[in-house]
Amino acid sequence: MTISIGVGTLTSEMDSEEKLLDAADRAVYLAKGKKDMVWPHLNGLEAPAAQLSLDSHFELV
Amino acid sequence: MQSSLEAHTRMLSEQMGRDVHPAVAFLDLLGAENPNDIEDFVILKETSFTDLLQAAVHDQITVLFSRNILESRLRQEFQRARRYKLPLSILFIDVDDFKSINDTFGHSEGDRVFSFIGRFILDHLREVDFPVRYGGEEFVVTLPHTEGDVALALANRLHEASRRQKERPCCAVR
Repeated sequence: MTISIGVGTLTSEMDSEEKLLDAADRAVYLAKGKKDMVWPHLNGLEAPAAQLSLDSHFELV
Repeated sequence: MQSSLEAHTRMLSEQMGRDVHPAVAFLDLLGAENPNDIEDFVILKETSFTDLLQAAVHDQITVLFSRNILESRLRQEFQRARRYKLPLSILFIDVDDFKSINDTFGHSEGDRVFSFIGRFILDHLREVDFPVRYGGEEFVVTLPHTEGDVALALANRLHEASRRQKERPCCAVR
């Protein structure tokens, strides 16, 4: 028996507790796709939030 | 009086679009800012109220809190975090392939495993954390005052502990 875990954390964009729960739900959904793991990024993101914003910046430059 | 509880239960039910247990409405009132609301409920008999509360608040198999209470507790934590600019995080835990355990060994064995998982989760959390059995094989842990990176570290520790547990013959699921 194994477990999968997703982690959600409050951000300024979240206007209700449901949004936080949804974010954690997205993360565990992704973790369950691979099983027996902790999804490594918060709120079900595919990459760390800082990395995403950095990439976006470089695309714009 | 008790009608206040009924009124609050109805109001919450309308807000949430489903039936809400009276004990949940009571707990919601405990988070209300008007203490006069709470005094209305002292007329409830202590024993019946305790039974009501126990049934509504705790999952009978895992001894974790039940989903009934998550909404009101999470709403309070969310509002507190917003008001005082505090961090707040959540773990969503799902048991992989749990259906196969029930299908293979039966539901009573499944319940035994759930009971074990409930104790396991409790053993690896901090006192301030709030673990809930969210659904069949799903668990949600509210982590007040917790930044995302700390929550991720906690999740990884819990996951590593589950792997070590799996390797112990006495505790492995057959």
